[in-house]
Amino acid sequence: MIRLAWHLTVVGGRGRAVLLAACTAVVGGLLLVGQAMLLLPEYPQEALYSVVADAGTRSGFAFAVFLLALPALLLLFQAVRLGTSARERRLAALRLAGATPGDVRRLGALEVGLPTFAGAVAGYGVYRLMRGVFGGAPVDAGCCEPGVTRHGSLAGFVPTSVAPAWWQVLLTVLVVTVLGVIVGTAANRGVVVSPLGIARRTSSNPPRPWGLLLVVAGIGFGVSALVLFGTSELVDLLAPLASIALLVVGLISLAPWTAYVVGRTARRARTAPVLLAARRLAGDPRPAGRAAAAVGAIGLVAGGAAAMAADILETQEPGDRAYYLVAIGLVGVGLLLALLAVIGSLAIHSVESLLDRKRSVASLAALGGTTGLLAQSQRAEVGLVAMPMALGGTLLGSLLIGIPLAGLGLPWAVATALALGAVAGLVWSAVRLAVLITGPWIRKAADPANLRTA
Amino acid sequence: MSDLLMEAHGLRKAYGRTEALRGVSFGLAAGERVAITGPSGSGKSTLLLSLAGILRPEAGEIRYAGSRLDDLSETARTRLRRREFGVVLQFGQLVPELTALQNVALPLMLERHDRTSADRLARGWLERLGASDVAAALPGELSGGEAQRVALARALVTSPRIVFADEPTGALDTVSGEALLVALHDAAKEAEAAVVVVTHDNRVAARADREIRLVDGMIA
Repeated sequence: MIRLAWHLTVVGGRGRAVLLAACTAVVGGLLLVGQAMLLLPEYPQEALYSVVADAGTRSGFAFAVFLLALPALLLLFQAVRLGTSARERRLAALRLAGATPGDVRRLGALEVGLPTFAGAVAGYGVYRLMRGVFGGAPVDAGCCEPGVTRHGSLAGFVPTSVAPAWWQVLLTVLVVTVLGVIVGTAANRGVVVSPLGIARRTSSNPPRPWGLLLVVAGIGFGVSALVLFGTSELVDLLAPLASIALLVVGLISLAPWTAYVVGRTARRARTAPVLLAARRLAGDPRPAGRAAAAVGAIGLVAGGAAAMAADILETQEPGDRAYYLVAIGLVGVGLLLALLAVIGSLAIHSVESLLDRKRSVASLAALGGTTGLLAQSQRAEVGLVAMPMALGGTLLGSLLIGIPLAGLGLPWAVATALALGAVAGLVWSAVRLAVLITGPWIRKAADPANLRTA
Repeated sequence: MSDLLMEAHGLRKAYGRTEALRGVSFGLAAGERVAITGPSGSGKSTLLLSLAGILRPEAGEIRYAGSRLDDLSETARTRLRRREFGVVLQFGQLVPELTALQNVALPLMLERHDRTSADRLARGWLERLGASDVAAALPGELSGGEAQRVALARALVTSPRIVFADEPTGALDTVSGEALLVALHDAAKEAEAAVVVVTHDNRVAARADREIRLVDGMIA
């Protein structure tokens, strides 16, 4: 079975396997970097960038590193869907050849499990690479007083004096592999493979906004963090982290519902591309919602960072501002990296959506729909979900940080407006880039030969 | 106890409000060749796929070698089909990523045969069906006739007791279709397998020992 799965992985989905392995390698590497930060003593032996060197901000930074793994996991979820139509033909043929539903499930798990295991092992390499490139500079013995924090440059934020033990590395590989398989299995949930083809158990119920509960819980934890600040170290540490985690997961869970609501709202659109996109979203909102899920979280962090920057500029002495503003700049770099994963995720969704509907796309082309119009429709489908998620997330993040810090004055308003503009511009560029990548597939789906296929 | 290899009684199956089978009964003796004919939409393929254990009828019962087939789980029916039946559909339905040889060896590999013996048996069937020269080719590189020969080899490699074929010549030209039919009947005879074939083609039906004609989901 493993040999067959390996053969099918290598022959049938090399690109998919490489992408799965790359995603899990990034996740594994980030988890190991975050762990290494948490293993540092109060006063590290090496010179590290200030937010890592200072014990007070270190755990928050490590948490941000863990959060960066989330877009990579969402990209992995999308990557599992790559080549769906070819894979479904293959699975149906395997069933006809005598593979049981259990065999097919096992093959599917192995097809995801083998590359994710390889990626998880490669994650150690990613960690070593990051440590080599962004490692803290060693300090000569005896040069500095013990019990003193040594601040290093921005490029030195990965600890070099401590590293996860072998069992922690092994555990990380195991966790990342299992995480990959779970995400992969979730992506294939509801697919019934019969010898005659594939059937999907699609839910006829529209998505519900259950994510709002998590968002409210996140706000609740945030308020608790403020009210209970200073009562205990544990509360000071955990309440804000729990708040951020709940808000991020809540916004991600709200994405399919947002896609549905936007699709329903836009179905009276006057232009053909938006009308087509809106109908698709209203009919099957979950795939597009999942593809754009991370942009809400990106907006949340961007909005929060903007409100924080406004507060820093107002309250800190000019000499102290750089310390905080550089850290916020680092958050911006992290968000751009997350946006790269989102571009991949949106592009994969766009390609799979085209290949799933190639007959109707070919019909549209036969009726006179140009590839330009088809591309506009793809942009509308992805953008209609991504833009409200991103802007809503930005506003929420800005409000949540802005209210407790300096109130909602003019600096906050300016910073929020700038953040909304920047996020809108970046996310729209991401949407355009994702659809640009899918150009060859648009032409492929519009091929008249698809009119003759089932 | 009946000496029939397979028996079906009162089979019913509907797709939404369309009744594909309306109380069909059927019997098949060992080594017998039966053609199921009838107009489009008469329920021919539904009957064949139900007998092969791919579809489950909503009413009625199917017995194979004296035991109920239709109330087995999906997994049990698949295992039975893998060991006892061979199935050929209109377009071959080969696994696109495996070579012709690997496709034929696949049912044996799923039965945990070792690779060497699976390959040897698969190569033997490809030779018998005149398709040994395409053993290393991928399905996308095969002509329709070649793909159907490979699919037939895959159906026969486990020495099944019944071969089910749904319009096996439907996508082939006259010459290729004729050649495939000769191969199907010769191979089945050699393997002492019964054959149930669904067809529109009178020439295919003429090669059978018996013809069952379906009209509107019932035997005419």
